[in-house]
Amino acid sequence: MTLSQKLATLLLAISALSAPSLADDAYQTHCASCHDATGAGNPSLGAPNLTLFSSAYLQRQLRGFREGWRDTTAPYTQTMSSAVGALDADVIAEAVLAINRLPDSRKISVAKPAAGNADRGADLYTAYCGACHGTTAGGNDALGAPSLLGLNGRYLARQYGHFSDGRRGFHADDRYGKQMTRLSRSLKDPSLIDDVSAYVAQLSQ
Amino acid sequence: MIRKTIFRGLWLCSMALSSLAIGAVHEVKDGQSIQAAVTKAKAGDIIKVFPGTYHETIYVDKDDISLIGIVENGEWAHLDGEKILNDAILYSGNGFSVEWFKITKYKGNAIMGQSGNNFSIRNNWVIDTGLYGIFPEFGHNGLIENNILSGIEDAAIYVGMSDYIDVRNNQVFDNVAGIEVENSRHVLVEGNVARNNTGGILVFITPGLPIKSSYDAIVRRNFVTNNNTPNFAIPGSLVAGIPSGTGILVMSGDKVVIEDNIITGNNTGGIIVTSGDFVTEVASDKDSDPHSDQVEIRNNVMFDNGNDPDGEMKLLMLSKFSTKGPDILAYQSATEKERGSCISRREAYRSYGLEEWADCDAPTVRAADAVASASDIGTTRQLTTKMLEAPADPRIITADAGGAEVIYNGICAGCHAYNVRLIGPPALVIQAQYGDDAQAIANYVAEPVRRRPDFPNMPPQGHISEEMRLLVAEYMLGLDG
Repeated sequence: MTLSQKLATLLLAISALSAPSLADDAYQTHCASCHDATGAGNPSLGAPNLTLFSSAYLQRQLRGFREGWRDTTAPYTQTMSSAVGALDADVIAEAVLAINRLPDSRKISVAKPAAGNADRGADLYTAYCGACHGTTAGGNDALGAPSLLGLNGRYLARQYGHFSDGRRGFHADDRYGKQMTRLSRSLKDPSLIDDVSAYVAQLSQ
Repeated sequence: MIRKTIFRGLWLCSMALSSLAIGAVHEVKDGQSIQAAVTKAKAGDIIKVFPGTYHETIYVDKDDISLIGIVENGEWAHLDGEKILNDAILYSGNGFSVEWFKITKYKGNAIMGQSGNNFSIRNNWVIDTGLYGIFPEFGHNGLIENNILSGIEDAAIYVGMSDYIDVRNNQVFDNVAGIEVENSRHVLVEGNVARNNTGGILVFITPGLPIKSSYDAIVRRNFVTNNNTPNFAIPGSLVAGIPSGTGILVMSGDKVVIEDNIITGNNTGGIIVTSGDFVTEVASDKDSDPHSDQVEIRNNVMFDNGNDPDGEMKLLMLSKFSTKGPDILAYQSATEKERGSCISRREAYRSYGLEEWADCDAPTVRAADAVASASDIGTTRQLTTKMLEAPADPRIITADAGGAEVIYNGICAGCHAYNVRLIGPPALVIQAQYGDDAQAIANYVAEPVRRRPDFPNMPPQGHISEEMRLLVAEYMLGLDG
């Protein structure tokens, strides 16, 4: 091991020791009031469960909120954009670290939409969603596809609507969002989104 | 009839003479390369491969090549993919024949036809070659005969988007699907043994493929027994939806005759006739008819089927107050009178859903009839083949959008349907992923990188020229169903 490698290891060790409290502070101060102290989200505030998102996805979306990838006329999006816009980059990085340490809380916020048919949802999911979001909805960072586990039906339907309405996935830099926008042209009937959500809820159990 | 026989005889003679007259013979010995011999060969040549072990993928893109394995004292010409290579033999040339090879441990296919017409695939022994065993895709006029296949995780013999095909006298066992006739027309499946698969013989339409129909199939004199192997297909793929214990399944197929088979010991059911929503509820293809019409079930010997129906089929049977599955089940729209289906000797079978089916003839065959094949009322006995009397026109791949369509149908559609998961991701997902960037697809397929851990690796397509790859990618991005 060279000297510089030793130094790097030492620095990593120090940051690992000091990071938790700082990072946890950042999360609890700036995120927890909507996304819950556990990260499980709060459906009444439109705040999704964050605990199953990868750090790549979280970082990309936080960047997106700062750089105008989301249409801010939607109230929840506006709240999130202004909250993120006020934060320094290092605070955001710490919050992402903290989110990654939160225990998986997929079960807490997932309610199966009453209208959804999970059997039909399974077939729809396999045809339209699974090739990127994974057969069991765990996401695929190589394709920019987030995990859908732990996300409730209202959140999924709202985001899908944002993609198909052009409120999300329109920005030139939002490569993966644009993929989803194109895909969302295939499945327009809102009742079908409920079916998919019902199936995702089932996968999240 | 007599005139036809003479004509066929003359044609066979002339074919034999012409290949004898112009064909050179190339010999390949253990340690040498079969591909090198193919590269050297000209149309009409024969390549003899001597016993030995060959680790290679062979591409045949020229016409009238014969690959013949030599078996000596039980030692075969053995193509071994070592679970590293995807395919053993890929052909796009017309008039291709391959026989007497032992093919094991590939990841994709043993023998895949990629749009070649007038093929013959005989006497091969195929074990565990991944997704498909023998898979002619988008070919006209072909013979698949006397092959033995086992351990295939999708279909052992897969007649895909093809016309005028005979599948005769093969043995398929320990596969997910034994013999699949999919989006194909004018097919004879005769005299095969399909045993111990998840499903024995399947005639169906996969929605979202370029060829939209499956009709005129005869499934005759096969042994379809004990197809009770648990389904081991890749989860999420279409064949993963086939219930274990299925003897013969007709799904969206039209004009299918199931005649003179012996069908026993299949634990879900002997024959299931159903519609497109059997394996997926969202099988939406506006250009495909999901119903099975004009199915004729005649004179099959059936017993001991339905002992332990699988999954949803068990629930279905319970709803009919039975713990056992049937010999014959018509399900979903296949029960309807207007489908025009018929059954002979209906009282002989334990059947469900056939109340609206008509009765059809199955005359007693006397010895004299059998010898002379004289009786042509109510049977298909007088018909000996679905192959063409003269070869089909060779398929020519032009260097334009028309050629790109042939390549898409012959290669890509083997794994990619429009909005259904076959082996690879659906085409509409690819369209969303790439937008209008056809060049990125053309580059990717030459050297694919695995990005989807729950899908198999895509085999590289670098043998297709860059220009054609780009045209094929543009064709794919323009698909809408």
